[in-house]
Amino acid sequence: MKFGLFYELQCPKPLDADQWGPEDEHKVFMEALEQIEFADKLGFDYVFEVEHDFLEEYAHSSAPEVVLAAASQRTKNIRLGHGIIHAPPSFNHPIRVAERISTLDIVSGGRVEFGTGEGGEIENTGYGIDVTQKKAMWEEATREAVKMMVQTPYEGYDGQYVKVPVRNIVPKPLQKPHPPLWTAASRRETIFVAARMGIGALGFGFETPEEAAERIDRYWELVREECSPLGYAINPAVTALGSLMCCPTNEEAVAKGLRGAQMFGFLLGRGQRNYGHDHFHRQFDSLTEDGRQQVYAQRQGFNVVDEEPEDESARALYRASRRGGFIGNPEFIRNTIRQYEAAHIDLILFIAQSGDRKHEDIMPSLELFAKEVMPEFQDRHKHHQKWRDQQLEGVPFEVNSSI
Amino acid sequence: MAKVDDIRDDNLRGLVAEARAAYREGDATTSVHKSVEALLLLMQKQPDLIQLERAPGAPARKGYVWPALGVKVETGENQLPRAVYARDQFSTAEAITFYEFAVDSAVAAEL
Repeated sequence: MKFGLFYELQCPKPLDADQWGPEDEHKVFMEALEQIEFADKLGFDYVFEVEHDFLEEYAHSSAPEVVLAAASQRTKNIRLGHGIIHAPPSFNHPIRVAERISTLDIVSGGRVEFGTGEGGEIENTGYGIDVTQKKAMWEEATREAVKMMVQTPYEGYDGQYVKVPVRNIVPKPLQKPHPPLWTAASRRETIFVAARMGIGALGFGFETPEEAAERIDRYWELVREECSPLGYAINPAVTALGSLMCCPTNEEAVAKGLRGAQMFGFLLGRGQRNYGHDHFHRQFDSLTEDGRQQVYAQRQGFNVVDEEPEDESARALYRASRRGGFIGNPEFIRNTIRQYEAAHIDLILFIAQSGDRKHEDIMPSLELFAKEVMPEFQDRHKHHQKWRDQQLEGVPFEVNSSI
Repeated sequence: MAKVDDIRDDNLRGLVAEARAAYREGDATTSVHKSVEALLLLMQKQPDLIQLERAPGAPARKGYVWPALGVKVETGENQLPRAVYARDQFSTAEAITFYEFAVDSAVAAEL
């Protein structure tokens, strides 16, 4: 099993002001880069960064290619993942996507993980995109962007959403035939779309180990039996996502990490917005402790003390607002990760920076995790690779996974 | 994890199997039509299983929400549910999404 960090670049408004101060966003970005640089030195394998537009306070990462480029110059080994790029062409034309991915792959020495997705409703409608066509747009644009990275010259395409004549798209990526492909897969249907297309599934649904195990079995079965690769090489892989705060004691971890996890969940589902005027941090801060736990369950029509929502999206929100698997002392976190390891998860991505968590708390948490938790899983990774090799026996496609 | 063979109803299972065969042969549009046909049949048998849409900000109820991917379902009193297609063509990803949704819904309905 491998480990990575996952960034939204959350930037809550200060409680004592209606808007951010001039340094607030700068501080979040610089701290994130410092954390990524530190994580690289500590031996974390990946950093993935989202692309989101308009989602104030929740995600200020609207230009991940810039942040990842900056990270590429401050790090040596950590792999740099787009988790994900919005693929519908009105967001990012596939030519620009291919050019940017290839360039980042070159300047990083071949460390790019190429994730794509469709974007949410607020984002799609902000760009004038018909949301009912976003999945079709994602597929066509991603397929063509990959071809552009590989073909010399690119043969051109006259599709429903992408129309490009014959051109040679340069530069080409350092990794051949192209960087490993991923897609955002919060819902089960998308995980199986990914399997059938030979794409890694970035699981953003806060799955339990049991749910993960069931999905992974099916994912690999589909890779073996029904895969028709979207790219020129497949990246069979499934990730899990969770909030991390590793401290010497559970009490300290909860004190330093729980509020940030709850705030992540609170911010995640903000649908109705008064753009530029909302103050979600204040709304969150005004809740009682119980209220913070319950707000999502109630908003989704469930009572937190009774049961988890059955609806998949509601459940992801519910879990995001709760403690999560990775807030605790090293032993607590180790035991939780062992369950995901048994389910054959390839990579766990940690949300370290979230809500109003302090940089001063995040850095020692990363260090403690790397020293006390990570080594046993790194030692056993060879067993996981052997298991992957067994799963891939007879699969006739080139594999370019970095797992 | 739900699979086609878990569907007991012969008509439903047949339609879903046709949907799978179509997308595997590269005919995503036919696949979507077959899955939708299966889902309409399922809605006749169990009208309350599938939510057709979720209003923005509304509570998510238990159950299954229709994929908002260019096919709408019209319903009315004394009228069988009817599909309205917004497009002539569908993609493989859309076909797989409708297929998985149909299999899941049919198995959940214990049909």
